[in-house]
Amino acid sequence: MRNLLILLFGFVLLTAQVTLKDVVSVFGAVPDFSLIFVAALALRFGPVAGAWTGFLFGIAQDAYVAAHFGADALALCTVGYFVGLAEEQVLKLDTIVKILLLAIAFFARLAIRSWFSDMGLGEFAESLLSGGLVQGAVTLALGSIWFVLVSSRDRRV
Amino acid sequence: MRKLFAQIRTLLSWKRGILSFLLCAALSLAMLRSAPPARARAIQLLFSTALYPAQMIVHYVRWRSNVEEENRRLLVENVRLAYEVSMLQQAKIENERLRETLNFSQRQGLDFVMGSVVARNPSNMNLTLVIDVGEEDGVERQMPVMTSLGVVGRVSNVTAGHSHVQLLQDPASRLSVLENRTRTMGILETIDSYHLYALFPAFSGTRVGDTLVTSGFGGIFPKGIPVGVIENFEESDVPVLERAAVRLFQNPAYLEELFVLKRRPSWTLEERR
Repeated sequence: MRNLLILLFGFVLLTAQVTLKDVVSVFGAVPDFSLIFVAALALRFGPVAGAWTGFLFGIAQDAYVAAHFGADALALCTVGYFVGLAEEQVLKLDTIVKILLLAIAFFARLAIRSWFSDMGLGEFAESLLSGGLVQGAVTLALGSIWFVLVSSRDRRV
Repeated sequence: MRKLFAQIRTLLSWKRGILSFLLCAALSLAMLRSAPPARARAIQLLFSTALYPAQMIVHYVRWRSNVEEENRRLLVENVRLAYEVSMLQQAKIENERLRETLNFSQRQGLDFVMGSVVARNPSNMNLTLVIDVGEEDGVERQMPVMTSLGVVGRVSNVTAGHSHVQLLQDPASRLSVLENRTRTMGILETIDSYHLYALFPAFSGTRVGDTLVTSGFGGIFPKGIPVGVIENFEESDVPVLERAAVRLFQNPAYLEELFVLKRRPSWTLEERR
């Protein structure tokens, strides 16, 4: 039940991200809630949960965009898996490393999606400059807040 | 042995992870390479299952937020419209009043200048008021001031753009009146500025309800302008006079637009204050 509620919460975030752009945008950029959500779940539950959640949310996002169905699923499941793997296998991550990992995940996801969307290097750079970087900054800021809150809660527990 | 099992479990766990990832990646790639109808079916399935509750929640939140916003907007609109209605009602009343006064001016065939009341005597007694027409509009001292209902007073002082009107309620004011039915002459006066009395000769035959008009005596007011109506009779200090309480046709409390009759006094007796 708890897992279902978490998934529902994630889908609500994703739907809000896609359909309420005017409401959820910060400085004109819509934060990538799905990435934060997948990364947070992967850090919490490991690479299997990360991969499947990433796949599920990626495919849901693909359903909204519909242009390259499967590209986001691939990007997010990759990100979810490797973030979870980093937490589980490599080391116990502290908050700064988690934020750094989120930044890498953002660019990795963007790169994978662009690759499978048949975007050239020039188009990729252009998409970065025309809003991708701002979106990355906003996503990173929100993710940082989330990680700080979660780590402070874990310390209390 | 236990160590071996632990290593196998770790390996399996690691393998489970890589298998999951590979499965997800393979599914994603399959979807990327799938035919458009299959994609459409998958999208439809997603929207009708996993995304449906989320869509409902977001839709509900948005609907609530829109309703609240709409409600606030309508409340502001309501206040604005109520204010506009109030202003329109005021304009309608003013329009009717001005129409009536315009008719009065045309009916009389006399040269009137209309002014609005811009100030009143600040004391409790309604003795004088100021209107926004003066010498520049042709107004002079001692000109009669009235409304469509009746006499109000006379111009007591004039400046370039404004005039002071001495009302009938001023105890220093006297007006010669004529009772319409019996044609009896009388003097309208007041002592306390609230109660106006007309003094008639005793046994003149005037009754309650008789109307008074200006007599034309005194040189300021022309004959026949409505003044008021007799409400009752009170005991007079002087036995040869009847003391009739008079209610003016024009209530001085409700003066907004006044007419100054541009008519120079034929002769004037000014009382010394």
